[in-house]
Amino acid sequence: MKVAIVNNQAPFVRGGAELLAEWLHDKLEEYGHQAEIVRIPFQWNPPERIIDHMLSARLIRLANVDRVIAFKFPAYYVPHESKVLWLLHQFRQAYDLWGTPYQDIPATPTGHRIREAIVDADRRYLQEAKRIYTNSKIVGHRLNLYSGMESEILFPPLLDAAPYRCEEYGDYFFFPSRITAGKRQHLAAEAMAAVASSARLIIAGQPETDEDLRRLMSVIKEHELEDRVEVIPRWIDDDEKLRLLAGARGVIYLPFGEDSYGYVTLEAFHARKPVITFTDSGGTLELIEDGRNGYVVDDVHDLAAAIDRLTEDGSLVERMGQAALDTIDELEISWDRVIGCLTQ
Amino acid sequence: MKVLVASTYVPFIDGGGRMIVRDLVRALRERDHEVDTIEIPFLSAWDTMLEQMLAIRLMDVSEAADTLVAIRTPSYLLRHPNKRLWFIHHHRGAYDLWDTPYQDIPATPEGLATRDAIVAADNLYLREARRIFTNSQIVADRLREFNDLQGTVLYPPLGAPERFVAAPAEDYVFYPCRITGHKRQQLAVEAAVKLSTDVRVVIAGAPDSPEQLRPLQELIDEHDLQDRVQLIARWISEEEKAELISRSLGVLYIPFLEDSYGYVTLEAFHASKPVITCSDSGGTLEIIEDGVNGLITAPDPSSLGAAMDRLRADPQAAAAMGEAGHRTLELKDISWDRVVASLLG
Repeated sequence: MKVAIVNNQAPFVRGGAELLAEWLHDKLEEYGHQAEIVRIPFQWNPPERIIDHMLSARLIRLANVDRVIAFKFPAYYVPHESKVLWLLHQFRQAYDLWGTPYQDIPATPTGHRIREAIVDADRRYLQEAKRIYTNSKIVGHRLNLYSGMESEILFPPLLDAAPYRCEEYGDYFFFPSRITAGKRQHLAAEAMAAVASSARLIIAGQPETDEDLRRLMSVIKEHELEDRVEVIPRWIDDDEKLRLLAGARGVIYLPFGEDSYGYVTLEAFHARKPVITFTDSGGTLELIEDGRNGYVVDDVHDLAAAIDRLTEDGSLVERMGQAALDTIDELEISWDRVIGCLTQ
Repeated sequence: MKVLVASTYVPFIDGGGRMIVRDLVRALRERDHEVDTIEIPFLSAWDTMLEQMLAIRLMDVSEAADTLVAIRTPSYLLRHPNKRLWFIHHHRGAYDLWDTPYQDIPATPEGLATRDAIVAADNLYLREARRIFTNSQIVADRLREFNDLQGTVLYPPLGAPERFVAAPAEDYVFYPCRITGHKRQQLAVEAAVKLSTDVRVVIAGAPDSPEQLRPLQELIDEHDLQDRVQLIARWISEEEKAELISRSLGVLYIPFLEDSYGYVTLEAFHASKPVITCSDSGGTLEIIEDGVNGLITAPDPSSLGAAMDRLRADPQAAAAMGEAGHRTLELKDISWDRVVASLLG
């Protein structure tokens, strides 16, 4: 069938949603469909513009399309008789971010009216979708809480999981991610100061700013961890990442309050590695079960203890690595399921 | 410079409007501009057109780039302080095709109001552009006639001209084009009946439908033209097309009343081949000069056949016209350097 993947567009900006749209596009074609990505511009500043863009989405006509798959507010308002949602998020500023520093919409009378219009339009128009899938439990939970709608979870798989492998459970833990305060690499380094075993840590990723890298390096220097913590402060290519994953004892991923489970977790699971995360990391908790396929820890001290436990017990790490790989099948994270759900 | 290239399209239909966007984006990137596109689905159905136009007007991209270049109508409705148009056509059903069989808006009160609103929106919002370029003289003429606006002709160059090169001419003229009624492949076959030299005619292209192909085949069978006319009734690759052009005596391009000169004409000129066209073909007449870089004939089989014979009878003259065609590209300055400099200047 002819499938239009409808996504928002912030011109010149590419993020996770753009990547997911491209992957879905390629997979739909691989499964014998015709696919096109439709990008609809969205500008939310000043907040009055939000209303313009909501109306705009309602007025667009998608002809010559059998199925619409929509990702985001407000592009998901586009009318179509055969529309399904793979919801990445609603407009969080009007919901869970309202009343936080990330609210964006001012709490003025106008701001309140804009917020109400968003809440109202979601309740009204999201019902037009034949089915709603979300990319995480938390997004489904919010949809139910704020818009009173049921949905089903559909975890996004990796584009190509085949090259991920486990060669050995080596002596280092691997933390691959952009180096930035929100990912908290500096806490992983801090934990290494409390590690009793011989475990090492390798951190790899493009620093978002020089300051982010400086913060990390100063922790390493302060605790004299130069021999035990290696930082690769640049973007690493797939081969390098696959190799570092294949030889790692486990993976550490400590983002703060993320919505999605993060591809890092999924990559680690495909490479049969347990993942250690924090209790406040958000989406990672949807995949990681404490003590089964990784550890969910409260603080730096517990993180160090988890690293020691995995380092000292070879059969434990193998068992948890296998459980990590099994988790992918248990949660049915596969393109077969994604394409099946979104095109049925 | 940060440039947004805006256009409209119908999903899953790969028309000339999308090709020009792709080519322009590449040309801008090759010149180190940062480029993104805004391609808005748009259905030219009169009864929802005004609301779709409003949808575009409501999108705010005014701060997203230094320059916005709008191509297919009505992407010019996007608001931007530094908007430029490379206008490729009006919604012709509301303009020059009104009162013809191609009028696609009914002459009912609602239809008339829609037409007037389209014209009013064009008159109002086309004027927001800091510069207006058109893809042909005829489109510039319509802008002046209908909207009292001045457009500068900026001919679209080929996306990848390198592959079109000259090779020694063989014994055939070549017509590469989608096979469909108004491209008049049938006229080319009818002309083959009238030939007095041994020139051959090679026609290549995907038929729009089996019905487009059948009359051509019947004609070939009826007149025993199997040796004379070669019909390659399928989509041919760019490489295949370039190869067939490069070994031809000359190229045929004989559509009925088109706006643009057609990429075929440019491909032939890049390969230093003359182009045969008809006096009612439209845009081709903007760059083909009879006896200089090609031949312009009356749209009847005898005249067209005579033009083909002429290339075969005097291959030296044909080659000289081909050389002149190549020079035409420079004389008219049909190049991406010029396009980019004009649109961003």
